[in-house]
Amino acid sequence: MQGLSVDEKALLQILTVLKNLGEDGHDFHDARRTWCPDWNECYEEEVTESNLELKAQSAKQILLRLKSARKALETMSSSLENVFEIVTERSTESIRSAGFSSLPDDLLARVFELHHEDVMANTGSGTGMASVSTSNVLAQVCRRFRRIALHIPKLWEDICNYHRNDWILNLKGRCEHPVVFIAYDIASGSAEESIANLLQIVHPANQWRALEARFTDRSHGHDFFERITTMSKGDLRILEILNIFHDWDRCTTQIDTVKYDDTEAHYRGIDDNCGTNFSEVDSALFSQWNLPKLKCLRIENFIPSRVNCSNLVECNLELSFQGDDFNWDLRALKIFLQSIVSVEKLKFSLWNARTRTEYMLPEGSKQIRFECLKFLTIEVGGNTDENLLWGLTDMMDLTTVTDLDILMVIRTKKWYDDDPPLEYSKPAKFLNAIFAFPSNRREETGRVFKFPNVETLRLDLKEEGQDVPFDKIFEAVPRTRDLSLELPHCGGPDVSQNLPPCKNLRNVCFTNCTSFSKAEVMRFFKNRGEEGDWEISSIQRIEIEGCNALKDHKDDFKKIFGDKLVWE
Amino acid sequence: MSTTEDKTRKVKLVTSDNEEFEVDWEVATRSVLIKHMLEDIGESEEQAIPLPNVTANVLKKVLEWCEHHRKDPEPAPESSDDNRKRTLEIGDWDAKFIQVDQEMLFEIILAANYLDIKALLDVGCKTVANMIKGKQPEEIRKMFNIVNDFTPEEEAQIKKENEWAEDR
Repeated sequence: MQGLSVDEKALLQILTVLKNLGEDGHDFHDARRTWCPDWNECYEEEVTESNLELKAQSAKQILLRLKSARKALETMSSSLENVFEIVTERSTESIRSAGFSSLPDDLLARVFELHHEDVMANTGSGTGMASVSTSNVLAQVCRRFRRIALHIPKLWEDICNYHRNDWILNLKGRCEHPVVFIAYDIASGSAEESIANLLQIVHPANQWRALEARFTDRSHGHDFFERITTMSKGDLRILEILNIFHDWDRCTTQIDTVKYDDTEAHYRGIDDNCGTNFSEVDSALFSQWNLPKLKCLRIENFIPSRVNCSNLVECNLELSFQGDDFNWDLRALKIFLQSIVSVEKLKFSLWNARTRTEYMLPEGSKQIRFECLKFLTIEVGGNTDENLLWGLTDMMDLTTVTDLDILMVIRTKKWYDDDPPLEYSKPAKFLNAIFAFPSNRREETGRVFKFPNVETLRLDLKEEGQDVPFDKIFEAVPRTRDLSLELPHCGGPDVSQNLPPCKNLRNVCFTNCTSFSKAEVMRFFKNRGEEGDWEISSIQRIEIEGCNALKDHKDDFKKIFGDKLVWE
Repeated sequence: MSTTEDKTRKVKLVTSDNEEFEVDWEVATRSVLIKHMLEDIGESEEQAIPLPNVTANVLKKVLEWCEHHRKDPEPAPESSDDNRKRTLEIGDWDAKFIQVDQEMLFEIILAANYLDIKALLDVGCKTVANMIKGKQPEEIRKMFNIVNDFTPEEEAQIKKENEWAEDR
């Protein structure tokens, strides 16, 4: 740091000035007198020949003194500025250091948990990335960060077979109830060997919180079910989440790439055309698993026969196929769904999913009753067979559903260029299959509506130029309270569609309904006869977002809906 | 449950540096701590609530947040088995509100924790988490002026772990 050197005389003068300033009540009433008290003596007197020389001398001395004081002040000011900068910089660092150290451990842990949850939400569970790329970074910052991070088991719960054994051991020590991820597509080495190592280290299975497996080959699927059944003896007593994904292999679109050996007992029962993509042997193994705490089950591309999970809350089932020669068995699907009647949330994703007549349920067969089912989501796309949708929605009693979410991505979900062209009217056929109520059901149940208790309806259709059968849809959901439509490039209800009144409608949201006209929007609200006399008193909120064709009518909507309108 | 009378009521708050703030009941009771204190003192409107852990400049900022969120529904109690994944997304207004220097950011977090305002605490913690996101240990140290206090033995252990953490 630089020193400070000031002329002594100048300093004395400054000190005198400061003293005078203090005596004057810290106020320069007369600055000239404060800085040069001898001024008056020198100048107030009249100039004569005899005092001219003296006055000039005196003026020079005053000026020199003032210059000297100014120089000293400049030196001091510059020195102060220098010190100020240094102190500012250092104090900011201290304040920054104090910031983190001022946070108690529990708040820092909260920051770490939020950070971790964000990573999990973005990368998905079961990838093992969170523990390696984020939690591990936090544990390397400083001793305090490390101590806190190592005491949050959630940060270390994701354990995968593609991790090295030492790392798996590390994670096991840091988290008592891990999320075990088994991948058969590891980059190097043998998947089976790495899985065997993983399972040996993360034993016992009855302490796992979640289990996720991903495989392409059905022989790997068999390996997975056999290993888990053998090591756990079916005891998965605290498992809360189970995700099993059978990905299709585009290169080998045949159902199975297993090298069959008919003499092997465990492949007996596999039939290329079984309609479940799941062998009887594997189905039997899976049904031995005891899952009393399972809350969330996600299955892709196979239909198990039965699952022991009496407290299941949520089930997501994705059925797809990339070719034309596989058909899903709806009878098998019904048997599976009958084993999960406790669910509150059901989601079906159907991509290019097909069925055939002999796999359909007989007309009027008894519906599955889900006592607690409230939320139903149907995602459908590609060249899915509408008969499969008919059969699926008809095999379930949907009277308890209050929230219905329909998402259709037709052509944009086209995976490969050589996929066959899709029928233009597919979306309308899908919507018809979902919302229409077969006449035989109407007679059998005496019910008129397919979804009599739906209060929240969300419809999202990503397909251009479609005519949506709004009349059919609203006939099926008479109690809709919250309606959300995202229908880019689709027309709204036209004059020919006689929309039944939705008396309960309270909140309506049109998002990206880019082709809707003002008249089409207003058809959702009953006209009491006179022009512009709409029945909207019960509407609480109408939100219009990204609907380009409605831009010019913003003021009209404002007049009609007033403060209820939210325009984005 | 608040009554109409409550909503028109004013509440006096006194900070650690003896500054007094008079705010609407609805604004003050975004803080669970203040709400409980008000319940304890009952109808005594004149009695000021002392907040010995919060300074005036921080309380001013916290009250700005409470004013903006006065109509928000009360947050549901956190459940231990809540499997929903929270992200680090922050609403536009909150993001602008929390654009403060680090000193004030940490003061707001501490005040939100002391005053028991969960939503504001979340905004603060998410902001810090966002600052950490995607950074390497050295970058985090630099950003928050944290000293690397690992011993050479600990450094060696961490290095070893990093090798283990690499994929097969």
